[in-house]
Amino acid sequence: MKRVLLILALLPLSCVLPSDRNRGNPGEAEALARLQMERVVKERETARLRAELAQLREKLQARERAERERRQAEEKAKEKARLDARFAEVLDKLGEMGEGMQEKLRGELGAQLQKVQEAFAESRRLLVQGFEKKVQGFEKKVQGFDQKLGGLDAKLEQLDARFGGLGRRLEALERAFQKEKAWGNKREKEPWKAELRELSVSMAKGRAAATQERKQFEQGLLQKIERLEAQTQKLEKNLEQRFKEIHERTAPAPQVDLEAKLRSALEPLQDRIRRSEALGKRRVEDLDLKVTALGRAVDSLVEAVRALRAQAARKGRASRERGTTVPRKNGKNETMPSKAGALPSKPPKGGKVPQGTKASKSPKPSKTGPKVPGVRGPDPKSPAPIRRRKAGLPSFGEGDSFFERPEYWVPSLLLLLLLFVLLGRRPRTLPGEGRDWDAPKAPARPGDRRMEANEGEALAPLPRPGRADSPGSPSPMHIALRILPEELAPQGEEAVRAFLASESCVLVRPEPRVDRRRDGSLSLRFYVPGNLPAHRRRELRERCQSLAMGEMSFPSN
Amino acid sequence: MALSLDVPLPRSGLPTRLELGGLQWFFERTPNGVRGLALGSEPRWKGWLGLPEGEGCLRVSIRCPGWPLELAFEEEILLAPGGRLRAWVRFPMEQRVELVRGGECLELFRLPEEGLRTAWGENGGYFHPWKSSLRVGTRPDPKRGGPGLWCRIYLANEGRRTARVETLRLDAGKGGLREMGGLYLLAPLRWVFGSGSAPQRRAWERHSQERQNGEGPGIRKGRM
Repeated sequence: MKRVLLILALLPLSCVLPSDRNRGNPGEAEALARLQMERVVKERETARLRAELAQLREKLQARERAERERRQAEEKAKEKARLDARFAEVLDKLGEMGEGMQEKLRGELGAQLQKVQEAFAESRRLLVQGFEKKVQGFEKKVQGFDQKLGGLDAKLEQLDARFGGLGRRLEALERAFQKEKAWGNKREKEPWKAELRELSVSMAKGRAAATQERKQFEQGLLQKIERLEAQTQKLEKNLEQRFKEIHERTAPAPQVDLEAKLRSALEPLQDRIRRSEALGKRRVEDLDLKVTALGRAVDSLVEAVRALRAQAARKGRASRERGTTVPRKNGKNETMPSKAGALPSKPPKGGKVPQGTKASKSPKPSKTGPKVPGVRGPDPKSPAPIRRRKAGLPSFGEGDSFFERPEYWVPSLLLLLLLFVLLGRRPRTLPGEGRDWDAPKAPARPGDRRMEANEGEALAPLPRPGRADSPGSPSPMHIALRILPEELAPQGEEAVRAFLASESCVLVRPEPRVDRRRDGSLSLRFYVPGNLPAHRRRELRERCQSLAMGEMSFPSN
Repeated sequence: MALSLDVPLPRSGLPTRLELGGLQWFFERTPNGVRGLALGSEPRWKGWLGLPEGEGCLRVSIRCPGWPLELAFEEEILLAPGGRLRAWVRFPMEQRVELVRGGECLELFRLPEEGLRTAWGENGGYFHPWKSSLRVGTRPDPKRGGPGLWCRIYLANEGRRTARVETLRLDAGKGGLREMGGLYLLAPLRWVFGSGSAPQRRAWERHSQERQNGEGPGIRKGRM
């Protein structure tokens, strides 16, 4: 132990020494690693204990706080009881004191009240006396006034007697004035009134006519207004209708939802487009390959056919040479293979035998064939001979079956077989796509079986990285795992999340996903760099499985 | 402090060790193979190596990560039109262990920095997302800065609108790496926003030439 401590103390000094001095002791690395691990474990243990100690301290403080509160509550209750008793005592004393004071105050109040009543009676007596004196003085004055009034009444009677004649005369004058006034009114105002009456009658007539006209005008106006209102309402309805249509056409739907929906709908579509593009490219390449192979096969076939044609020409030439002694039938050279079987047994009309055709001079078959009038041969417009002629193949006669000539059907059969082989080939798989990604395959394990079974399902929602990448850097690889619910440990999901968040091999973008499915299983999907070795990928899978199943813990102590 | 260290191949009974970029490496030969160990604050790597005996050495070197970095910043960075910013940024490093024998160098494995992750984008291919904070002002202290690659970046806005710098995609390994003053330094990088051109990068050689000519590290109009 001392030795190890000494090594640890001297370690920083020795690190800057030249390489010859960077020599340690045997077992030092192991011991240091062990010590380091122990130190880390102890530090973690210390941290854990510190955390527990802090929790216990908090609990203790809480308990002390509760005890203190309880004591305070008890003390408060006692103090309250003491104060209640003291309050009752004080109340009793106050009651006694109040009764004494009440008696004393009653006596004092009675004496005071008596004094006040006496003073009130005295003051009332004095007031009554003063009033009586005043009333007597007023009565005396009234008597004086009565005397003066009697004198005035006498004088008034004298004056009435003097002014009685004047009053009557005034009444007569007034009556005369009234008469004169009535006569004047009658003479001057009556014509005016008649004229006024006529005028008022004519005015009433004119007013009635004007009212009638005005009514008619108003009615017409009202009708016009109603018509205009109806038209306006119609126009408004039309405008509203058009506005609604335009609004429906132009107004964007709720943007956020629509955008989100569109984006969510676009993502799988883009993915599908990408896949279909890759598939299309692949198919085009396959088709190119097939066409190339087909062209090669056709070339080889044409070569073979040319060789056969040459051979047939040679044979024909030999037989022609031999057939010079053979009598001609129907004027046709038998060595001509193209129409030999199609010649009729009847001689041609007119007895003219056509001369030897070009085929007799050269092995090249004629384009249209010999034209023999009245001969029923194969239809010159029929496609098969034309195709054969176009392809440079010799045509067959009716009696010359195709299958009787192995030099023709064997290459055709070979060509057909080649076609079947080419068409039956499996399409190529792009690297980094499908199950061929992770080749070479890991040895079969239950987890791998699960992964394979769910890989296609897991790929769907994740954004697939495209193949467009910088040269020399392979595309990221996708790893998908599924942990069945019965295999999933209680803390497995958290452990896997923590592991994927800290593992440097796992790409942080595209983000790793850990999802719990409806059936309770756990789905893990993440990407790793394309150049990560296969054994590292296998290790990652196994580690994820172990963490999810609870066989390991993360971070591991 | 060096960019790479060579140690002789371990022999039985004579293990080798070295320290580079905050990691301590141990290689010890056992009858069955070579046991390798990399220790940081925690064990970073453990493994077994099958190495030949005899001549040759193991080389541990500090490199930039293999893929381009997508640099995101913890603080918000805004550049007004005509505004400039100079700062230091810490990049992640990667240590490579190689076998040097007979003049040939064979890479055995790479150990990326802890927390360095890889991502893949439809257009950009593979990259390392990395979040860092700007250190504006003085040069980082090697004792306090910790292991890592430091890079001086210059940001300028020549456009007419305010530029918001969110992420920068860069290939940190292109400009070279050197050790200076206790720090692993990458070539300075400069971006000009709003000029209609892609972010530009200044080569280490040009920067060195400017320093030798006595010119400041300010942003110049000429770009590479």
